[in-house]
Amino acid sequence: MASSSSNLISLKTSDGTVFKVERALAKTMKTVQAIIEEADANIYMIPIHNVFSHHMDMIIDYYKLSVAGKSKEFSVEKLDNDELKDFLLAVHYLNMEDLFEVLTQAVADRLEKKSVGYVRKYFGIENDFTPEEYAAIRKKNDWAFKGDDIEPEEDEEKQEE
Amino acid sequence: MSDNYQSHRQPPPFLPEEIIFQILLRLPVRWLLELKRVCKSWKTLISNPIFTKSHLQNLKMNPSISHQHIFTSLLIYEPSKIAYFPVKPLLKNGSDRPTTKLVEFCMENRFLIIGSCNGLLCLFDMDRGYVKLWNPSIGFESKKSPTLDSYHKWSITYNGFGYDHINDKYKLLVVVGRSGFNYSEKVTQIYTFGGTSWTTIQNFPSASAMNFVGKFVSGTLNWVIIKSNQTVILSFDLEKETYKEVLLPEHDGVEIRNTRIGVLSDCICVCFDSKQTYLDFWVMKKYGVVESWTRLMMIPYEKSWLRRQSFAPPSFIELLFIFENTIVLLRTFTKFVLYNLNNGSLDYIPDIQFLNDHHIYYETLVSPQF
Repeated sequence: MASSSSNLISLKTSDGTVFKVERALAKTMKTVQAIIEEADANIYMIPIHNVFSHHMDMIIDYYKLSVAGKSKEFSVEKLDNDELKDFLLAVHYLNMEDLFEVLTQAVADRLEKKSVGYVRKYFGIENDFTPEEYAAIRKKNDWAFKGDDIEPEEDEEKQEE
Repeated sequence: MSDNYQSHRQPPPFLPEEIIFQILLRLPVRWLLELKRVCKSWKTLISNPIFTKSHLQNLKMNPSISHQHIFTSLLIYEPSKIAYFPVKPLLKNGSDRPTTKLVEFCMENRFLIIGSCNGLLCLFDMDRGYVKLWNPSIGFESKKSPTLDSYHKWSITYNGFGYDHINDKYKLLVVVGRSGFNYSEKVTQIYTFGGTSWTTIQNFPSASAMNFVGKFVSGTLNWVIIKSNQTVILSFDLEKETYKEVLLPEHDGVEIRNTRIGVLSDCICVCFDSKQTYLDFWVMKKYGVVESWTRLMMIPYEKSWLRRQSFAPPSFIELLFIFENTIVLLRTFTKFVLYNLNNGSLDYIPDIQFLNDHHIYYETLVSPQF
């Protein structure tokens, strides 16, 4: 694919790697697009904070798959939970709509059917309910639908204060 | 990938609330109810009507077969019951498919389901003549409407329930017999949920609609009606409260003599019997635009089961779902039928036979306050 340098945009990740990407890919990053548009002269290199080179590798993979109409084949299975969250933050920073949807769905899929305790750990959230408040919500949430799906795992910690 | 990732980050990455909102939007209702227990800010977030609205919008843009059910009114029981069965297990292969069981809710009165919309069921109390909304996913019940004047039970004919998105109101239409000598005089009434009374509107302009329940599509309620020599779709605009007609597509076959409107992704779908050699399904891609009628699929008649069917009233064919462009779920008078578009296999669900009515329902958090 012959491309003149004006069709490539240079992006420098947090870890110092420079990626030359097609203008079309840069266009899917609204944050980058805004920087380009605001620059007076032709900008030489755009630093992208919060984005590491391994994120860019995956972003480029996704872009190549979607151009080929195969975006469904993109998978983040091999990422562990923290890596996935990290990637999600990077894509959120870059403001890439489609990939952001893919990743939020991936996180939602991982969380579904997990217990409340697991979800708290995943997001690093503390339980700030009193035992009475907690019991009150619990009672209200008797499944309206019985019998079909698997119920989520029981909370590991009963009620902490 | 983990090799590249130096764990120089000690605390796990912290996701801001706007990202958490986007993640939660994609979770089904039953898990969202559980997740209210995570912490106070999540409880507030999930209980917020803005979240409910976004969640519903996301469901409509990314519809999923999971958490969709078919509800039915079982009026023969005393007291009556409302039952449902989930759609997703139906799509498994014959031998893998679990026995379909109706899950029943015992109701305090004899309720008829008029329609289902945005996760709400509109229930009509057959004995007392009022309506209410019910969201079984979250246990929400609305206030009861005023009762219909001079209502006599069993005299309701045409009816339909839907959502006026312009005014953010849920409405229903009923054609009911006026009390008097023999209830033959009909009056058409509308109730807007949250209102204090029923309004009488222009009479339903047909006495020969193919079935009683109007289908909600794109802000309108729809019936197939017979006019002199022609069948057309009668469309009732829920916001304007006016009627209009929409033409059926031009096609080679004849309408199944009891043509039912199916709804797929908020589009009307109808079925024609093409010279008794195949069933011809058409969908109107843009509501009200006759040129947008497109052929959806054809099911050949040689399937022996189909040949044995008569499509004379009361029988009918109604398309319910197409799953991943492969499996089609249809309903006839007595059976729920699965057809595989790839290999042409036709199967029916043995455990669900005759149902009085069926309403497609999907789980939402919607609980309108009024």
